[in-house]
Amino acid sequence: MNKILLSPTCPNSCNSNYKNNTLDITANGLERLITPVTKTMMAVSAITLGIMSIPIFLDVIARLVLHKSMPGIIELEEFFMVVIVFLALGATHGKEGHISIELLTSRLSARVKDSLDLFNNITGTFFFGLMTFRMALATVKKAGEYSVMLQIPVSLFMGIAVLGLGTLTLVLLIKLIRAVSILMKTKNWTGLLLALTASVLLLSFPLWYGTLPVKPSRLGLGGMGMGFMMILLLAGMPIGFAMSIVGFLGLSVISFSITPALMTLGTAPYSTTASFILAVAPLFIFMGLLASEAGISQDLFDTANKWLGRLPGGLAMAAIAGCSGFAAVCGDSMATAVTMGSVSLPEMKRKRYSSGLACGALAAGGTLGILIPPSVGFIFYALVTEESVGKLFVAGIVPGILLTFMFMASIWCIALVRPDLAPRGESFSLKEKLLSLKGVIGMLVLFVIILGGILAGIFSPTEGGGIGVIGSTIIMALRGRLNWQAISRSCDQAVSITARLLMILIGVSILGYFLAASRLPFELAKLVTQNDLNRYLVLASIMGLFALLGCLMNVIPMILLTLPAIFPTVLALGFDPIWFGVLTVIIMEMGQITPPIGVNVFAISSVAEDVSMGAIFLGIIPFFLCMIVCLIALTLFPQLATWLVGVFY
Amino acid sequence: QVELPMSTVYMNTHPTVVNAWQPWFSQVSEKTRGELKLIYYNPNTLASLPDVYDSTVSGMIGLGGMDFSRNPGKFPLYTVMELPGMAPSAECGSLVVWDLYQKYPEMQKELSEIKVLWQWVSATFQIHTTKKLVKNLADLKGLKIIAWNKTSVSILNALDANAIMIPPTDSYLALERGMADGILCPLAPIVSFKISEAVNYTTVCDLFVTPFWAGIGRQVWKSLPESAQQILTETTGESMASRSGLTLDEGALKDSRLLKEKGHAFYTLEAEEKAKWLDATTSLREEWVREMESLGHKNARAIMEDAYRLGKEYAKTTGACFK
Ligand code: NA
Ligand code: NA
Repeated sequence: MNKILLSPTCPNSCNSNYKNNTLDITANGLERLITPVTKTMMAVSAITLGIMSIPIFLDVIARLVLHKSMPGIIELEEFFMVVIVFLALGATHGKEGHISIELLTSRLSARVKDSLDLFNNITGTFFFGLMTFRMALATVKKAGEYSVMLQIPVSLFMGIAVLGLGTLTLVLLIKLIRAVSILMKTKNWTGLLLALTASVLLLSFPLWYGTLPVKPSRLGLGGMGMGFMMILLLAGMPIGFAMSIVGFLGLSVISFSITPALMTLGTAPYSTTASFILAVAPLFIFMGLLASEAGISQDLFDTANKWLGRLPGGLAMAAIAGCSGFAAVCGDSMATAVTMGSVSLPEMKRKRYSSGLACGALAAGGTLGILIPPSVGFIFYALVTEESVGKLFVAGIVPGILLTFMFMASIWCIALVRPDLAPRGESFSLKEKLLSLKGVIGMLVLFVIILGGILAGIFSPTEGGGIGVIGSTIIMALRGRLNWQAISRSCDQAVSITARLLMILIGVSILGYFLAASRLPFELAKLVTQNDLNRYLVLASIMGLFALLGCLMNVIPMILLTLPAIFPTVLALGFDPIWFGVLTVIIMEMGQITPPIGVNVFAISSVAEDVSMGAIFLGIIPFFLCMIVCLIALTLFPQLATWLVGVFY
Repeated sequence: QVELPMSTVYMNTHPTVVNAWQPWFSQVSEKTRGELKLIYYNPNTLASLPDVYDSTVSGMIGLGGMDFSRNPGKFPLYTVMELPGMAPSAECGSLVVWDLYQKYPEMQKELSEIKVLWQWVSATFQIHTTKKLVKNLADLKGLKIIAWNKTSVSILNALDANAIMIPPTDSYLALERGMADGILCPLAPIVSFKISEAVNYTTVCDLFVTPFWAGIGRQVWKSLPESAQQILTETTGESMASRSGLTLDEGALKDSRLLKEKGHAFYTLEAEEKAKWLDATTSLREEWVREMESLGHKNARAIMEDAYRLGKEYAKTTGACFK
């Protein structure tokens, strides 16, 4: 049997004593059928990601040398995004699954878990089947429309998206068949019936909602939608799925008919993905992975370890320093956490560090990835507020360094009080320490290329990711580490991270349209901005709202939803928009590590498989407090963020 | 009581929303005795910009409005409005496009899925430069000018400048760091994207305008009571086209006064020189006619000539935005 795609037939409650039934044979047959297809699609996706930096690089060179721009770079990158994401959706779900929350499901009995699995798979299969069908209709409707510069038919790439969604539906169908088979083998008839009933009730919601005697208001619908989404998340449904489903069902009843919801289902996944702004995300992630293959992350950790390892909590401090250094070449916090985590966790485990402290430090340290430039966090802030990305990048440097030292100081304090949690490491001579400094050269070179290039006007921040990819590749080559395995490993990993990220962002956009229609975010934003007592009280309520919503949802989409309603007030109160951008990004960092949806914690737990998610969430508390102190410090001394901007601009 | 969400490419703080549409919202609410309420939504909240048309057709957006060029290939005939020198002001261009829509069934057909309430055009596109004031074609030759859309690229290339495409959010930095020498766009984004901090000169050349549609999906339209339909039709059309254009012109004038106070220099192209610029773009007009004829529009040349004639006609009463 081919096991590349899907996990073994009996994940939870059955054991191999059971024989394969007809359902299993069907599932296996289907899997054999689609595995070559998904493998090919995955390969195309990885190759596309590998080459997507080339047009950007050539365009920068053409501008520099020929003073001419190549036409159509923007739409080309958008098309690349579509190919990368949609062709990888199915295979990604088959392999590791799209990101879901295991807080509750990991504590349930196997029988309950099996039926929840079935519920999620039935709902997912029908929902994505409907999405595939609606997007196919939208594709037909787009015939005759073409891209702006290169005049490529839009329907061509929408067709690719339909293919990808169709494959995801098939992968879900296989999982559905297997889930039914497991419930039948374990004679779990109650579970089967409940799962079936629940999914039918959920999917037919738009049909029976009309017959309800009492209907909630728009705001009420929005609030209930969010509550219901939390239930789906706790039931173990992948985050992106739950958001899309709630968004779709909400839209179908909040509008005058189901038509707008169906239309949104067919168009939103494509328009969300085909975005030049989002194209920087895979580029910066890919660059981080290449930098790691080039040995930059290992070198950074080694250098930090030689200087700090001997101190109380030295290894954890070295890991934070490594994160901070790596943040200077990587724009994404999850990628930073994973990269430094895979380098430093084994060492900390060997030295018998408390796993909660070690993982907490890395999850928090990883968030520095979006405070220290380059940063996708600032890019999203600039997208909403139309502020300069360059200024925001510069503004993040000093607070980033400050937060690094605060993280290290809190580890020092913890280690002084509880030496057993973080034992001291070995000591090194001054000569060894000085010699080890050459380990930071790789990081410095990349950092100077990216930030220097942006500040010198050679390329835009959006193009920085593409240049960074080429830069890391050159460093790999110079260090003799350039080989196909390394490149293809990085491509595969970057594709997988991107596909999982975009699945969430697709959900976010559909849910966002529903929330906008319900006007819930605007009313909340109005609530916090309308108390005209004191500007700092208003600021505190805004931060509080961000932090609260940041617990519940991924932070970048939360910013996209609420910031447009809040930003005018921030300006009206006379706050510096660049400074407020730094505060917002620190809040984004907090959201990355707070339960129940803490993306960095999920990421670290995927590296450290033997550590429970609860232990990591406990481990982040001291770092969370550091972030609050940092926010207060920035409010008292805004120069921390604005001073360096004044120097450069 | 019906609530109709309206969403276009403009933010709720845009002068056209504040000065043309919000007053109209109150007017509609008053005339329908509160039965029809229009609520403005910021761009990207109900649908992404390229999806606004489909969202309006489906009813996701009650009253939608967007530039035709957002969906290349979908509204080919309206690209006539983007030909160089079509209108010296947004008000003039808005009246032209509304006239064309009423006159030509083939243009109505392109928008058959929605009930069109009015149309308008953007503020006029000008050339803004960092170091050197552009007074003639020789000054412009070889300069690296940022373009945001395809029409800008073709016009700049026809004028012998080097067009480079950079997204609006990156434009300030590109100009400030000398990656580009100038930019072709209306005046409003110069202020809103902080580009004004990097450019010092504006050459008023009214190179082109981009047209917009505003309308309601057929399904939503049919669901409205007849009295509301009548009020919506009566209060829009030509008067709304003209008011939308006028608020854009007023916004541009206000921005220009602000910029002048900060030492920004404005230069209006001499009539003789402007004629030379338009001559240089003859190939674009011929190409447009050829392309439309290949799509089966045999009277393309007549439509184009009519559009230019109307532009001259209306310009007599509206005048240019920058006098
Ligand atoms: Na970073
Ligand atoms: Na969170």
